[in-house]
Amino acid sequence: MIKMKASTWYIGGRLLQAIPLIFWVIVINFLIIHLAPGDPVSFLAGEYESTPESMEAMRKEFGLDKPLITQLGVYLLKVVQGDLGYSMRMKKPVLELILSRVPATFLLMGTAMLFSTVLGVLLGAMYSRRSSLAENATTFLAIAGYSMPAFWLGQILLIIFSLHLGWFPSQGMMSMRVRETGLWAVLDTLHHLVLPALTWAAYHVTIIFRLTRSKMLETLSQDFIITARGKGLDRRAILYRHALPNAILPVVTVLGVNVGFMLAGSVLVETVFAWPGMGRLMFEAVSARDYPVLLGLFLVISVMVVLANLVTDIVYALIDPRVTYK
Amino acid sequence: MKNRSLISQKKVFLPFILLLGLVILVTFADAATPRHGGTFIFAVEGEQANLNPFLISTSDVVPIQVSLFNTLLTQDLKANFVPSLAESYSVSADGLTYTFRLVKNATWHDGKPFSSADVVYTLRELYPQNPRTGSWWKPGANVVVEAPDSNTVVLKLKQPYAPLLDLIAYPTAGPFILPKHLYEGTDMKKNPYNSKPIGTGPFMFKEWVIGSHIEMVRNPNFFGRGKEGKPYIDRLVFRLIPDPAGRMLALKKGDVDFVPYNAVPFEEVPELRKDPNLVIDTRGAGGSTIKYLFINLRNAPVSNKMVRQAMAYAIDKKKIVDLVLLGEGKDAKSVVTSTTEWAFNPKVPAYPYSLERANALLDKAGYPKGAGGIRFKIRLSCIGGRGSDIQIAEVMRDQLKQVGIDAQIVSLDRAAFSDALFMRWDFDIAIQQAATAPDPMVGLTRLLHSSNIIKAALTNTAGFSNPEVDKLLDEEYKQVSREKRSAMWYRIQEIVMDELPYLPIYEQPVLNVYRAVWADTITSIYGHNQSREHAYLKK
Repeated sequence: MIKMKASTWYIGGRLLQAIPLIFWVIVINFLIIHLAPGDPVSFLAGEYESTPESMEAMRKEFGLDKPLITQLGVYLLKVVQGDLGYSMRMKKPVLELILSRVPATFLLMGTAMLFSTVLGVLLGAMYSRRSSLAENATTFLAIAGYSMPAFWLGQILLIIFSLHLGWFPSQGMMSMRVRETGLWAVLDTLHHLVLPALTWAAYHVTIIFRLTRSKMLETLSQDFIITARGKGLDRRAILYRHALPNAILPVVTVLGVNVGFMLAGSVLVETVFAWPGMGRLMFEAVSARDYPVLLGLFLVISVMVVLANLVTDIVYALIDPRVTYK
Repeated sequence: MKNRSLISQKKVFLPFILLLGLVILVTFADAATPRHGGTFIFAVEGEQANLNPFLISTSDVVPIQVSLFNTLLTQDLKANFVPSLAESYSVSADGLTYTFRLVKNATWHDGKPFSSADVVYTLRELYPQNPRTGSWWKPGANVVVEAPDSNTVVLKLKQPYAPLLDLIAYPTAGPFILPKHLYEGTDMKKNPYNSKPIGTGPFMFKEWVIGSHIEMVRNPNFFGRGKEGKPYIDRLVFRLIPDPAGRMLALKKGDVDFVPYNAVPFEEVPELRKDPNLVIDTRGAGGSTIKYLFINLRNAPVSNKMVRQAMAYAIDKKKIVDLVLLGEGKDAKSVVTSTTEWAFNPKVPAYPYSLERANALLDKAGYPKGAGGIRFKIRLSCIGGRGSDIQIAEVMRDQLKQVGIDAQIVSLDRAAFSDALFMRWDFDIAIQQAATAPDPMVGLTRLLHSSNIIKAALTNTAGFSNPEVDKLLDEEYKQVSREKRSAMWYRIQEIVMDELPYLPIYEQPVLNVYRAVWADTITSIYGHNQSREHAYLKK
């Protein structure tokens, strides 16, 4: 009970600490976004013939005629009240727009993360023997996975598995030719999920694999493993029961950090596969200079990263008996 | 009421008609008759805010709007006006009165009957709210819209306006007729039907999944159904695919049926031509566009006419077409597209590729070659992410270098480019495009008339001011005779191609790509911007 209370306090404290952090995230993003040349009005007007009057009216409608500092103040006040504003391009509330895209991104990211973590840890444990073949394979895979850009890998996978082999659909989250319902619709979405999730997972598998392997090598050379070997335990038990739980701790840390990277990477993967998630929304908002949507996305993403780090710390406490929160 | 009387008449002839039908069916059984069915999937690049044609008419949304709504007239492949909501029309000899007889069998998708009241309401109240409509349409001031009866609409103009019918029919920003019963008394901008439209068109709105697709279904009561029961397609889907490579892949795989030409990368065309499952259709070029070099006449040294002409000689347009468009286009000779046959002047001052003439003009203009053979530096602005603009800029930079002009490429994204070009006039030369369609008066007056030197998009950004051109532009559209207009446009092009505020580079090729299983996909000069009511699956 006492431990529970302590951790509640800890979580509360961490959340409070996040508030100034998020405040500065908003302020800095706000200024950076407005520093970019061009504004939403010039984007919208660039689409067709406009008059100076119609453009002035648009600026006024969006509040862009006021000084920057006033715009920032107005925005912060609204955010405190839970209002993320109105999309200039889509003419819809920002929160509604973002929330409508969250499920697609979470489905894709969650699948990719689960897959890459399980596979990365398993491979890392399996290939934790010191051999030149494993060494070379590791280095090769790590460099390849690490340096392959998601948009390139995504297109290669599409060309091979969608266009030539015809195993997977090419774009989007559901079939258009025939609209499935019920269980078939779920299976249809899973079918669409495979290639983008693989693309997204490729990079993370290599990170997790490399990390697990190096930690395993480190752990396997420690005294308690030598003791276990001396006791005559079989290799598999040593590997999975004694070494792996110790080696896996840093992987948990990396997972938390990866949430941020993955959300950033969603722009590329979702664009290549026409996946209707947050990354696509961000891509469109950047090119249209849709300030409220961009700021809203940055805000939502920073909150997610803060939460992911918090969850990481809590998980750490659960699996590592050495860590307690007071 | 009307329907009932028709049926009772038909009852008498029913057995006879059935028998006749059977005979016809047997006789022509193996003739190619369009069949019903199928899903047509159209790839679009970007998401839309709404579908109201008077609020948004970007290149991505027009193909969606033409499926849901109708204009009074439309145009066939030879640019003849053909009936849509108006089954016939007449124009008075003085060019001041236009009378439209409306079809009698049109209904809105919600079942309410369509009448002249909808047309009058749209033209008086909604159409003027479109920022693209401009000053030519001011109901009450320069045009009076009336409905003598429920099937007739009359437009009375203050003075003749030559491009009127083209504008009435034009799908981009044109007057699609909207339902009065759903818009009257509301703020058009906030009307919920902007996102779930009710139209008269061949397809009815079904659902819109933001970020994914818009789906429509066949309208069984379409007024243009004819004997064949058009449209043939059961489901029409507009699928969002932002990545150009992804669109092409989906097309090759068969996940998409149609990719409009503005979304087809040129480097893909040779590959697409080899694919027997695909058709590359160059018809439907009515809205064709010219790729220009915009020149800022305010900035030296390009403010000097000799420098501009020297650039025209130094730029090898044919080479740009070969390198950038892989030969899939035509170098532009004038500011009017050659497809606009009545107005295009083939005898304007030409600038055949000649380094000698370019060098001579630059020497004469007072810009001798300095260190490293460089005469002067200028900025060449372009949109980095728009199709092949950056490639044009790169080829052009190399070509200008040959005559000692050091052009520095300034590559911007679209918002920043629009801002620099149209709002701040902060450029020397820039790659930009503009359309002649639907009439040179609409597309070019904005670029050429001195009264349009304003800080707004697609205006006289060059800062070109020529009293004779102004005067011709003020008069030409009031001419009832096309010959007179034609002569005036010939003269305008002569002056402009001598002064060169805008240097035309090439006419944007129209290469719509679709799957070969479809027939009659393109039947109008609007090309990708026409409705798919005639398209059907081949056997």
